[in-house]
Amino acid sequence: MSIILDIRNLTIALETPSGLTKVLDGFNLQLEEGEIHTLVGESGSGKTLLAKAILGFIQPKWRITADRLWWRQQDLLAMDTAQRRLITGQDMAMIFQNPASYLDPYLRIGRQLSEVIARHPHRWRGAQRRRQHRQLIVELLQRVGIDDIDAVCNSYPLQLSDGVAQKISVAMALAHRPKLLVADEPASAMGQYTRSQIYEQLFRLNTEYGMTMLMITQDLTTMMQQTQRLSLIYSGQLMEVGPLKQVLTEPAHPYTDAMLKMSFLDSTHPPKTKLPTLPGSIPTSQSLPIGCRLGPRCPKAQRICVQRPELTTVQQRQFACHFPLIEISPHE
Amino acid sequence: MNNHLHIHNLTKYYVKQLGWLKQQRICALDAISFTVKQGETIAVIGETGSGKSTLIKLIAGIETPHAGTITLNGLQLKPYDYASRCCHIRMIFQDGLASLDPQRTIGQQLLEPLWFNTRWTVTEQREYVLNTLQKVGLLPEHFDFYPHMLASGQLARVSIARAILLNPQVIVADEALGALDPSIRAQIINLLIDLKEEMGVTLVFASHSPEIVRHLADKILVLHHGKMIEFDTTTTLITNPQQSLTRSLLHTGNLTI
Repeated sequence: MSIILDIRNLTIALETPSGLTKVLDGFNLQLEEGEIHTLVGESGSGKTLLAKAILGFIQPKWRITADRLWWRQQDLLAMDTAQRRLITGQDMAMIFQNPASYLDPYLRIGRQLSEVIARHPHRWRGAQRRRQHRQLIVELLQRVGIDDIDAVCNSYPLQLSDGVAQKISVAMALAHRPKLLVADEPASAMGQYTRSQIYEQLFRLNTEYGMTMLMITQDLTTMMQQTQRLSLIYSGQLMEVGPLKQVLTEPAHPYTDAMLKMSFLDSTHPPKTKLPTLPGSIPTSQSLPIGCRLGPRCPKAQRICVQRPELTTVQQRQFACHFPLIEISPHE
Repeated sequence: MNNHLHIHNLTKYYVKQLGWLKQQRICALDAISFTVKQGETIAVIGETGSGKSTLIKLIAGIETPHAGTITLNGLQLKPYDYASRCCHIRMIFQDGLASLDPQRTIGQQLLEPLWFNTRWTVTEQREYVLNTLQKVGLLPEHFDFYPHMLASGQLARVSIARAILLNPQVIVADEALGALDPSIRAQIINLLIDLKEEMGVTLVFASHSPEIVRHLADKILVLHHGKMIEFDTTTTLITNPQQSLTRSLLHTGNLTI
């Protein structure tokens, strides 16, 4: 498997009145072609910023530095805007958290979909082109599982339910057959049933077209079950990466362990009893702790934790902690 | 009293105007009846648009029912009778920041229920608010804070403090835990469990997270298009649900370890 997206030591700093704030600090991510990778992080952990940095929706106040931000051996940071836009437009797509804010409230759904399709090279003219557009829209909507195509095309985004609106944005993201799909909390605001429907759609795209997916969620319970690898990020720092099963069965990082217990995944924990928690609250970007940012809340923290731990690699997994929960054998 | 909170035949319509004279009635809740014992935790689950929020709002008194009665300890709660209802039934709102007044301090807003419902002196009221703040895990200093100065977890604690101020018998909550981060959510769940033990309060909450429902609830009420399709204890519904909808709503995914 070739690595399609390679991120090494990515740092995003925001210019604030009190100086630069590193909201994403030394982030690493390697996406293999055709895998589903889930990134879990609580609010303020910089996961949305990461998604925007990958797709190039960058604002002037951001300072992005990285050892590597490579898309198929091409350096994204060295490109000019036109090249970058070409790659983003052809190969990448993003699904946003709230479909209502993503769709234009003034235009009918059909019109918005045909705008996306119009980005294809113009092979047709006039009435023939309209017919072809119509056919493509019908195909797209059928693929994401919408039955009542005429009614949906003629309605405004406000008239649709959340689930249908999110399916529309999945359809829009698919119009180009992108290689990489970044989904930023695609179903967090939806009920269990709608969520599983959307995930089913996304998983089918992954199996049918071999689309690489980066799913971003806030919570382990709303994660896609078909995920192959899992990254946990806290306050802009990468905590742990590894294959799903391994990370869930024997977490290496105290944060992963705490997240598992707080997400009710530990089935031995009886109901109606208190959950083990991390004390304190998530640090704001104005007052980030030095060293390992989990430090003040970590149950295993010691004096050395004010120094940033290095990312340790053990077989397929990586973690950044001075006191990991698994044994590291010396020859590795 | 044996039947603590008794809900009988509760019905609510929403009227949709289709033209000048044409109206369409949309049934949000259709003749719901159930009884809750003192100190129980009831979870209301259902798909979007199944009437979960309507039921919670009707119990809290935000909306008035078209038919049916709500009885607490044998006394019927009349609609628009806010003076007596607000002492017995309190609500935890979903969005802490949106439900608090941004122009007034936390203390001023927490004093308000006491000001209207007790005959205590100002010092007594202030003392009581400070105690309540401590009970929910906040500091006395937070009395003088404005809502925007607090983090999401602390705002959730303020919402809970406001709900328990008047020692209510029933607390209702609509998706109060859904929008919180996992680590904060776990803290708030622990706080709710503590408070329930201490005060013996009845909790009725709506949620779409099967994990929270399984963890907190004694009994589960399943709604579908405004109708109650199942109401039983959590263990029964998890092990032996009668309806396939219940099974899919309580299904937590294959993420077993």
